[in-house]
Amino acid sequence: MIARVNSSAVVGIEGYIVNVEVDISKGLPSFSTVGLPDSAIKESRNRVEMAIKNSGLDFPIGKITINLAPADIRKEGSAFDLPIALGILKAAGVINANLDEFIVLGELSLDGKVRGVRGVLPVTISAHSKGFDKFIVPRDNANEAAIVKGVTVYPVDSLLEAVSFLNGVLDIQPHSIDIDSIWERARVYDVDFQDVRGQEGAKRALEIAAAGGHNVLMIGPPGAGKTMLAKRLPTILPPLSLEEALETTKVHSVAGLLGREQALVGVRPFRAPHHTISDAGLIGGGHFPTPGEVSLAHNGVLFLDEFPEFNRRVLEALRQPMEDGEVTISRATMRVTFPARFMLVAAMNPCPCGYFGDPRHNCTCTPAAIQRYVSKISGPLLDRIDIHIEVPALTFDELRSKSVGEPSSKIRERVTEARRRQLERYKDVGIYSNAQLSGKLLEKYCELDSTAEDLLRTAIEQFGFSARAYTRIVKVARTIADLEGSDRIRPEHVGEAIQYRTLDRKYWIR
Amino acid sequence: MAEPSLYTVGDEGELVALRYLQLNGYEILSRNYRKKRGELDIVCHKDGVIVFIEVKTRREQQFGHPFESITTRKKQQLIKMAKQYLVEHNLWDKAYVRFDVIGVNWPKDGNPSIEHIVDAFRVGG
Repeated sequence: MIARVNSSAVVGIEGYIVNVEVDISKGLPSFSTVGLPDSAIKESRNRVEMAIKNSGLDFPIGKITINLAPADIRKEGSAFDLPIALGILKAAGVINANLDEFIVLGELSLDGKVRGVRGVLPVTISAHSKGFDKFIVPRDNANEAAIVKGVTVYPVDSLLEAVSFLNGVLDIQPHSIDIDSIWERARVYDVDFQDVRGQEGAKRALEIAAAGGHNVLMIGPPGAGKTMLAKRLPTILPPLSLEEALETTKVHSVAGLLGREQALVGVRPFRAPHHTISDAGLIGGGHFPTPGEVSLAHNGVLFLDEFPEFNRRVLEALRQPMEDGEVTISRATMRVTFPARFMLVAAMNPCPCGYFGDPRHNCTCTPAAIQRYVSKISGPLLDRIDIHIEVPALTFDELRSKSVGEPSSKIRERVTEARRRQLERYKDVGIYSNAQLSGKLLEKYCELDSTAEDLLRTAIEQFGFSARAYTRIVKVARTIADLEGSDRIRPEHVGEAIQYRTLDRKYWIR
Repeated sequence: MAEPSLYTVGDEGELVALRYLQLNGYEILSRNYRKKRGELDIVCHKDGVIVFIEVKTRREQQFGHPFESITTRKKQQLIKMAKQYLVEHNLWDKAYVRFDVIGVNWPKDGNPSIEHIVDAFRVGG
């Protein structure tokens, strides 16, 4: 007899339906799985057999064949354990209900308990769009699945529970969550810009970066507060919309980073990978591609501390996702695309010893060593970072000062307003922030008046700025004007923007 | 029960297993089905399932548990023999099949005890 159970798997962050077909026929007792299973699925036969036996049920005798259809897509992961087990029990006549209307997901442990799996949210979303609205999922994943509106989620703790439920002897309360209250609770940050003493210049620069979506490079001695500042950047970005939150949650779900209690990533993510990270870890990869840090930072901030210490190959790999807002990973058997729209915040010391330019310490580095250190960051990459700021060491007075800075919520209001102006201005040209301006659009939307033009010319001649620096300055000036609510870019906007080009100033590098 | 001599301990153990199976409602189809490649100790039948049984008898525990001597190679051999039996009796893919192991522990100065592993192994995995 053949039994069919619907399940689902993820490729990238999109789910697709997998039909689990189970046939038990006469012949030598065997258990085989077909339909491009990976090793985790091949191993599932041991888990399934023991889980069924240890649930006090009979594991049927016979030639058992499992087919995962469609057979041409590679299947990965352990989420098929439960559907396979239910299929076997149905084929053996233990379950007599119709399973067609359910999507079943779950890993089995040897004692018949159901464990959580990855990617439940994307699976639920895509299965729902294909007309399925009943889901049997591990209890650990119930919150995640219940976020999707219009689905009925039956959480199960064990195989036996699922069997009893399907046979109608056990009633399982559909899991429902109050999306509004979760959404409200999930949107709270546990850090605030108020916590940062001093560093007014850096705060202002981060506000501008947040307002225009500009990438930032912070340069300063150890202990100046670079990490602390970066951590608080998400708190001044405009709040996530529900759609953005769902997309970010999908990525985190696929990566298996959602906790049992967490249903939604409601705040902009802040990802700070260590500088020894590999390119696959940063961009995403693996035999069966999983999202990397750039995708986990989707709609949020990617913070790279000790920027020049990162492997050069890794840094260069950043360029494509920064440009496209997504990462495509190609494998012989598949190609997946992960979203990766993030703000890059990089931090570095001014020199290998860390104290170049610090009035209270002596720098022990030779000019050549400094040069080597700085040049680890390639031109094309630097080209994509609009704002460079110096974060100086704090003085004793600043450290002891009782003055409390502006709270994040205040700054966020200004940032959100500036972003709104940009969305309005660019609604017909397919971009959403000043950072994305280039070529023709730059000329069209960033006209300078003659005084501003003169100021910029003087600066370029005096500091020896490159053409690259020129466009960056204009873009940042555009954002500063937006923050002020000004349609025109005035000389003071350009003047401030020029300050954010530390790395282009000749004296520093050569 | 009289204590068996050392040389026939295997045969005696099989007889004990045989009696046990009959008491438990198994219909014995064949004993010591022997071919060039090996032997099936007992072939029997219950509830529509053909059961191939390997019997292991041990006098003393110190030579290991009876089931320890069922190695992968032994399994492969039993599977081959079972295939041959099924084909010969026109039962190939016409019956449900199971492999069991019966361990007979027969200490020198005591009575035999039986341990029956139902569905001891399957083809592959």
